[in-house]
Amino acid sequence: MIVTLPKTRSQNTQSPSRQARVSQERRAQERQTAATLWRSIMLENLGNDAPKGYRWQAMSEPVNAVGGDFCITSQPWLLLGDISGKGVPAAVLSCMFAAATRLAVQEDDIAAALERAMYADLERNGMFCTLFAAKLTADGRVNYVNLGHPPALIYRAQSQSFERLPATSTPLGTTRHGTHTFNEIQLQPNDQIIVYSDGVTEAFRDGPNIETRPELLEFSSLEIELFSEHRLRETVRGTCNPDETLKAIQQALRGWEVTDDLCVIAAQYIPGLE
Amino acid sequence: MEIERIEKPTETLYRLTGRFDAHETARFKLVTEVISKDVCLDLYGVRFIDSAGLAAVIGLNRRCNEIGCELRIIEVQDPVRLIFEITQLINVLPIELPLRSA
Repeated sequence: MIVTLPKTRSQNTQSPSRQARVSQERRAQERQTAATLWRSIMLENLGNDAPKGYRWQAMSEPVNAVGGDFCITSQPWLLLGDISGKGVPAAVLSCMFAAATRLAVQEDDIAAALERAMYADLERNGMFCTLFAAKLTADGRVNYVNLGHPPALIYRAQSQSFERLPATSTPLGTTRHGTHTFNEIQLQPNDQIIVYSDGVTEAFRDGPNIETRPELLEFSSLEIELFSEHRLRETVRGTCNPDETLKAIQQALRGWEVTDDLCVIAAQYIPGLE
Repeated sequence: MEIERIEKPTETLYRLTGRFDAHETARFKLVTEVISKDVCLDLYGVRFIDSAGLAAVIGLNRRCNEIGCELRIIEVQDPVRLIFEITQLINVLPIELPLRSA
């Protein structure tokens, strides 16, 4: 027997304009829920205690409701990654990275572990992920790997000078079974390591690029000036701790247009800090 | 971004002009979807490329490799070359850089 069910109220009585409005509201609510979920996952990975001998601060600001940058602090590791692209696809993969990282930090080669976990998904979706991962030890040694990520900066407190930690390998997702070269650097008391995504250095504003690096001028006809690594270093110079560093960067970025997700982690070596 | 397509006897040349970012990748993928011979990507007119643009170039290289065609990337300008260097992609993509005089 076939029973014909009565039409639901929404099918029966709602005008097309009301249906469109309800549908729009539902989509907005879903986006809001997704954004809340994404933020809670990202914040959960930021709030962990620093390892012995360090203090750290991190900030994450997606350009849309959700984003593809992720900062993860999981003793004794700090990681900052950037999924290519923006918005929901990048955000979904950033959450997958956050989950995979919890297991990967238990492996000897964190980069190889993340590649095993994520390569197929990245390749299938035509995306890649740049990643900086550093293991902080209580004696000030930092073991790091940089997979196609902008150079992390070591800010030497005593000399107020910088050292760059450039990429040692290509981003995850670009070559299967890539080689992941780990390097080591020694921090001195009060030195900071600053890891950032390209959302910082590619922030831009109108105007000639006289002060910084002319080769970074985006379109000479439009005279767009990039924030650039140079300006980031000048912003960080003179700061005394990670909190001050992040506040200085936020302050310096005012008046610059940020069109990409933005993440920064600053960690400071303080011998003996529990 | 403007995409000019020029069919040559042995290769398809794509000449790009403008900003190669997330807003342009869907069209780039569509235009370069069918590969029937070697591909040459001329980036002379590109002064900015973001991660989505890089991913699109990597995807094109991968598709060329899969069907046995060759990709050449030429006329890479300094700001874009810098991005390829920072990401180390300069070591895995077929980028032809001009020889520098000593």
